[in-house]
Amino acid sequence: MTSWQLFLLRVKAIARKEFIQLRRDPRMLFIAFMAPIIQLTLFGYAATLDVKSVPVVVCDMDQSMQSRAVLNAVTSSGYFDIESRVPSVRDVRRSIDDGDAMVGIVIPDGLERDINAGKKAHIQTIIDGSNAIYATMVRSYLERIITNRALDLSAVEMSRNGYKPYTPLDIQQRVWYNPTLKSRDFMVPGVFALVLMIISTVLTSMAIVKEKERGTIEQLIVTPIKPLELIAGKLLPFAIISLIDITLVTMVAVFWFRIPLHGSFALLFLLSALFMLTTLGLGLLISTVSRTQQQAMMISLLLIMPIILLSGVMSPIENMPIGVQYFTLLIPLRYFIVIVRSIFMKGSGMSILWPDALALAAFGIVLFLLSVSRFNKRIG
Amino acid sequence: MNRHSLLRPVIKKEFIQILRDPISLAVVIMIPIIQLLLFGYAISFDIKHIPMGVFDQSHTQESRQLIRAVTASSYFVINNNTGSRSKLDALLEQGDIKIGVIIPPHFADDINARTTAPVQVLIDGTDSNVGGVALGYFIAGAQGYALDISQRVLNDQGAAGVLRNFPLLSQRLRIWYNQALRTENFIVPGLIATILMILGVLMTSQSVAREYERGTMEQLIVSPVRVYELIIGKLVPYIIIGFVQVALVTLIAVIVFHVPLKGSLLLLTFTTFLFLVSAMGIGFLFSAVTKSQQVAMQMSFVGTMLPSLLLSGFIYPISSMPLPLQIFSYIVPAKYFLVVLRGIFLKNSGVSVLMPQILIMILISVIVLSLCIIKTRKSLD
Amino acid sequence: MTGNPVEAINLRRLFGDFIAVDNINLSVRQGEVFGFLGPNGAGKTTTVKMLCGLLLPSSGSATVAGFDIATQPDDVKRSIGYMSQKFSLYSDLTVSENIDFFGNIYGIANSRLTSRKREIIRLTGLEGRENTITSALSVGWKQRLALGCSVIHEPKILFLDEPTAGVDPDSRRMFWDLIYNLAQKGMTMFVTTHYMDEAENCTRLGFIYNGKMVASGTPLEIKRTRMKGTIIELDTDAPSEALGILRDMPVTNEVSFFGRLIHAVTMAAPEAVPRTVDSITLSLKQHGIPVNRITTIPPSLEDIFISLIQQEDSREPS
Repeated sequence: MTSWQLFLLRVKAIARKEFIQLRRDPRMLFIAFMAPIIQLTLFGYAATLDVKSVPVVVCDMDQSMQSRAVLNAVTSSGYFDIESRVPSVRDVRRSIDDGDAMVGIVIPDGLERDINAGKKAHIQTIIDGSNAIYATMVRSYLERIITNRALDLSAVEMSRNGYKPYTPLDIQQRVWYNPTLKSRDFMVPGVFALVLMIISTVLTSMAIVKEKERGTIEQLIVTPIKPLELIAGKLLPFAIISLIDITLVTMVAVFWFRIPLHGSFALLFLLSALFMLTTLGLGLLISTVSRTQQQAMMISLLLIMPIILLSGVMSPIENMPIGVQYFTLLIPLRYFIVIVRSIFMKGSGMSILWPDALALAAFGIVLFLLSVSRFNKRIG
Repeated sequence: MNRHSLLRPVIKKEFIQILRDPISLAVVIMIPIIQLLLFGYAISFDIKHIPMGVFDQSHTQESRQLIRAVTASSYFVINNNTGSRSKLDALLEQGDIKIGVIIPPHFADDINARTTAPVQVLIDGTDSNVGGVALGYFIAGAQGYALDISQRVLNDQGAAGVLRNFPLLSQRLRIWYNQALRTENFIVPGLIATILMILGVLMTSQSVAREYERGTMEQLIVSPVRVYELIIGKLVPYIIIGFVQVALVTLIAVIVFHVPLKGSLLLLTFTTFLFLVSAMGIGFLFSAVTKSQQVAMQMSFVGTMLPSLLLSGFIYPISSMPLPLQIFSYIVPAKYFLVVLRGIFLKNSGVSVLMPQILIMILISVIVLSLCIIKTRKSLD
Repeated sequence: MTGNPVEAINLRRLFGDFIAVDNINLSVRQGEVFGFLGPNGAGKTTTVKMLCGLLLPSSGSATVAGFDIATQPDDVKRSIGYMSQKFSLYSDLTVSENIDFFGNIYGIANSRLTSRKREIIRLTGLEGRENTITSALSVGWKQRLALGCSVIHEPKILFLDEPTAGVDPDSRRMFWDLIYNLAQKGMTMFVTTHYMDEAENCTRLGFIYNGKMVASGTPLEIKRTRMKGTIIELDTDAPSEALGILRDMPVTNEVSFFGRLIHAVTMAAPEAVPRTVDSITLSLKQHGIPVNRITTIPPSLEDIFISLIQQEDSREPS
């Protein structure tokens, strides 16, 4: 038997054994296939920063045509829902304190009188700033609505006085890739990447340490099997599961969420597989360096949180401090996020994505080799 | 029969086991600190310095005035490498700029002739958040420029008297709890809730599952220790560790990130206790159900990490989610603790305001602990 | 290089400050059943792990099947089979799947695997249990399967580390039949155990205590040369009291329980032994302890090892 045949035989033996063990543990199978689908479905809906149905509490002390016109402008934008109407400013305060409303609008008595007399009129608005990002966006939407209402009123006032309004600029806006600026088109591909990463890392991080804890590793390392054969055999079943997972989550993204896949599925599949090499490699590395499953879990936890938060999936990397930005270059997920979003939204091809693909390949190979070299065939 | 409580020995045993592995203990205590420091600094949703490309075919004083009006805010950074339309498009496609502005050659002529001048803006909409904000900033800046021009024109027509009262409608906007809209003020309490949730569930689920795997759990269950003593004894040490974690991260939040702690420390302690009990009870339940470290760990991961990050209202507001998901979010304990933390830190909320959250956390704790007792009793049969 | 399958010279292994194995020399001859004995923690498992290439020695050297354990571990591993004291096959695989798996790992496939598997199943008596999930087997059957898997590649030497720990006596006997069976086919067996009755079954013995080799040879040689003095066996209804009294008597050197009996070693010359027996009987009677039976007996291996351990302990008072 040539050493190549021997290699194949051993890799196949390990892989087959892993498959049999997986098949006999339906809980693991469920986690492997259903967890990504459920997670993507749930979190694809959850991860949205769209300003939508912001709860508003209103105290309208004017109760006039003009006050209704302002409130109408606010609600007809589709971004705000009037949650409650209250008689006093105190109630507005309580409503925001309790978290029932995020925005408070107080319209003072005399609004209509002032506007009709051509005098400056004010309304009071309050925003709960505890979620700073969301509050920033809510503020800009609110400002735009009030400004537009003010401009309408100005035009009326000018023509009443016999002046011709003049609009110097015509801003023609075109939004590429995502014309309606829906955050779902942006976030679902991001969550797609997260889900794939978590499932593959978590599954493989147990692969070797489980054998250490059960003692079966001893019977294995006393055989002439080589670390490369063992690691490759361990990787194979999880790689196949991961490929199935890629297909499943792509289907959820495209058919359930109706995220337009502008690029090629083949490329998405290929580069996802490349990415999985890095996460499987990471999982195996964790598994080889840990002594117990608990340790493996702690290390995974320690690594996955920063990977998610620093990958750019939730907050833009450009906003991070410059040192942290350099640090993110070490996070494979960062490249994959760019790849997934570009393929989905821009239809980008290899001509644009090759640097990211190259980075993934490099990480994958390094992690894989690292876990092979860290796997010691001696025990002491 | 007068029976001695066996709570003390169970707690003692648990402490001995924890202290015997000082490295793991140190790691468990260091994780939240490191994570809070790292993420508190790294995560910023402030949208500033958006890269902008300008393809200015007019090259006049007017066009430069427009650009100055837009960039005065420091929201944009100009990328000058835009000699042609195709170059601008390429930059946008590669993601090197997020916003592209095209000023036509006859821009200045239009302005001076008092006709409307077209200006084209291209937005990279992939990140809808950045795209939307960039568009908003651009329009606000350009409107400022337009207002100047139109007022100049109207002044020339002698309309100064009418203009004096413009704008006829304005808002006095006040932002409560976080006037400066500092990201730290909202990220840090969110991180505390998320990190504690994940760690709390993981620590207890592992510790209990390990006892099941080693068979020591059966030994304990058949001993005269009562099931509730066993569960409380198992949880107490971890709750104490949880308190140490909370104390440290609170210190970091206040001292390092200058997050104001406006509310009562006593209330914070009480609500933290409720949260820790519910989180760790869930961890206990996971392992009592699975009896395997591996499966318990995967359940903890799947059941805490993403829900706490995504469904707690930490970053993504629950009010924007579809109704079924909003309903689902009611079973995420981190959601309630998050409201409590933000309330105590930023709003000086008292017991009366936080009563619903407190009651729900008590309810979750009671349900979870009862399930633990039932499940542990059952494993006797 | 000698032709012996196992040859160790000054083998030593430290764990930190702790000396687990202290300059051990041993050689095992072709086709013999070598019993490696010692109490728990004496260094048996550490020695076996070094010989199997699982642990590097701190100093000293050893060859197994002619290969150096430190520099040619893969060649060693090809030539040996190993069965550890802890069951270490996959309990969620069936009997047949476990055999297939280890067969493949050792490079055995196709028709050769089919025929080897048939032989192994027959050898271990696992016929009819091929498709049983391993976790459903009793401890005794699990051990037979583990043995079967460790000889799938027909190794020259088989290392068995406490193979019968926790196995009922019936299964133990059956397991030893299996060991003889393999040894008759020319396979060298290296068995560690702390069951002294099993030691009598071995061709040759090595006895390790506190990391040191304290005796070696055939059971007969050891009994002849290593036993100093004569063993007096005492049957009494008050063994604890009797033990105390015997320990205080100058004529008895080593006194210990042997089941519910007491064994006392006397260094008296053979002709003086009956007098010693009489004085013991008298002394016990003076203390009101009834003696059911008192005789001199030939030493068992267990007597010898207890004696060796006590000599060792008295040499290094700690």
